Amino acid sequence: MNTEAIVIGRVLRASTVGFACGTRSSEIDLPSFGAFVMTPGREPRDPALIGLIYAIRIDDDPLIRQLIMANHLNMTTIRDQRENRMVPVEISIVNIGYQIEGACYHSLPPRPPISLDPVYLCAGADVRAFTQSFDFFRLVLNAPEVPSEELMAAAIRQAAASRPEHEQRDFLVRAGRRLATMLGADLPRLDHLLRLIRP
Amino acid sequence: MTLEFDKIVPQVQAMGHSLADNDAAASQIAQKVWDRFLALPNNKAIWDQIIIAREHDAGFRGAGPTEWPDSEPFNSRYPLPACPPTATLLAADGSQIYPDLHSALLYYLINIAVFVFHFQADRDVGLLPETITQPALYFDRTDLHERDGRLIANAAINARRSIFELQMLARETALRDELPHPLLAIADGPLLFWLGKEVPDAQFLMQDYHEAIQMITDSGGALVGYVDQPRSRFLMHTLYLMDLDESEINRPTLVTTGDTEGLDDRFLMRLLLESGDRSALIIQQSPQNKAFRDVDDDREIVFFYVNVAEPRQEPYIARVEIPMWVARQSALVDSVHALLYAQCQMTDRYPYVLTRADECAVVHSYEKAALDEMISIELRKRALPVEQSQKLSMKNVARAGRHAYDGL
Repeated sequence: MNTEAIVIGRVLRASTVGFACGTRSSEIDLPSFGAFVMTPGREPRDPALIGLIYAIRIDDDPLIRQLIMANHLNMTTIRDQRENRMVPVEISIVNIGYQIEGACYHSLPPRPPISLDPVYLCAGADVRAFTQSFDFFRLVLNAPEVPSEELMAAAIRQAAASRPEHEQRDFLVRAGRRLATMLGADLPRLDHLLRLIRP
Repeated sequence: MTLEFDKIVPQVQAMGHSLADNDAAASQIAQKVWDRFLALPNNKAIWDQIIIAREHDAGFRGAGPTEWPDSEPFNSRYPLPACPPTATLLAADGSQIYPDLHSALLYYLINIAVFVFHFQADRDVGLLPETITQPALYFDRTDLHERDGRLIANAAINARRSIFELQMLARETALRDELPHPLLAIADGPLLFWLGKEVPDAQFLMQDYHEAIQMITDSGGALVGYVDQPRSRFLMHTLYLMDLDESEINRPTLVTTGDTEGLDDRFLMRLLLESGDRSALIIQQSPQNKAFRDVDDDREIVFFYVNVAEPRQEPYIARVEIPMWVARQSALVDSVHALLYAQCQMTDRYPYVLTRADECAVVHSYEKAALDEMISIELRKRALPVEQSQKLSMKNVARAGRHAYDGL
């Protein structure tokens, strides 16, 4: 697994369906909705989990509420709140597959990551390798409590963007065809998705 | 649930009834007290009466006006001045874990935090504030036990924490003496500090306290004690004193405050002070303040009340204590006044710097649990026995309550 060695957080809790990772508010410039992430295995034969970010949540706290209500904010206070106070950010991820020694598997992983495992953003090469096949689409579309169409579209667009420009249109068309075969019985949903990924 | 609310409700109602009766009685005398406050004579007349009380050794615990020429009239008020363009505010707070006889290891912990705020009048300019924390773990037998073998009292730990707070505030202030002035070193609570008999080595601790004050003074910092919701009755004592004839000024009489019992100084200040106003500078009369003055004339503690509420809010009174050397500099008093009010507007009628210092200092129960776990692991690594009290274990189990299993 190639990674850009950018840790976006560490695992808070996990299951084989998905996991959540925590980070600080000052470190949320990179993770974005629909981004491909991975948690490396601890041993070479361990699966490296691949997932998609489907939610990024910043919790409030009473002091933040108080500052907003008081309406006397200044730049010093804003910087203090953002950079000094450890405002926790929670990133939710749905599992879409895993890699073992370079081979990609588009199914749920055999076991979840462990608490405090690092979570990396996938490098372009990893995204391209994993999205050679569209078998992970069904996992995304069937994921519970996830905005599945928007997530599917965001993932497809990110996978396209990881490819050379002259390959992107062809990739999007192939992804659209695959979606058409999967969602033939749900035309409104298919129409919405195709509009979202239209080149 | 163990608290049976059906049994406590009648008691809460009885409490409300009693408080309402007291409030009604107080309101009947309130107008008279307010009129007497407005009609107070000049500062010299007040001092004449205080001097009689001193001569009679009457145990007067009220307050007097400042004694320098053109001192502020006792019942005067001063509007909010402008903030200086830049300033540096440091605030200190502390918390502690008391020794627990049921834990795996007997220890106590003191955690001190100092928060540094670089004030800029220009709201669009912001320098990143600093947070400095200093936890200290005490586990040695000499730390934990008095000379007679008794376990250290919580009051003694509180006293040490207060000293450490001021020491760390002084150290961090001295390190920043070249930052923009005014340089405010803000302590949470009164500056007049004294130690009870239950605190061992009180004399040495007081010496440490005064050395810390001196360090702040030497670095050009203005020491400030901020008292939220003061329940002090210094003005009430003074009002009562002014009503007495010379022959009546004695200890038995001054034990009470006559018909002002039930009222504290906030009653007068809520009527006197508009939003942002401060009261006159006032000197507390007490053996503690005399002891401070005996160390150094400049160290006598002066205070003023300030209404930190916004104009649209009900008055909210705080007491601000400063040493005499700060009180003598009117420009510095203006800066303390303006900057503290500005701090109180950032949050809700309480200084932002103290809010953040408290947040950095506080040790939460889950942090204590994590520390206990670290200690247990350390003991096991060294093959030392870890015997947690069964009483504590079972309490933790029972108090954890019932929870549904959470999904992902």
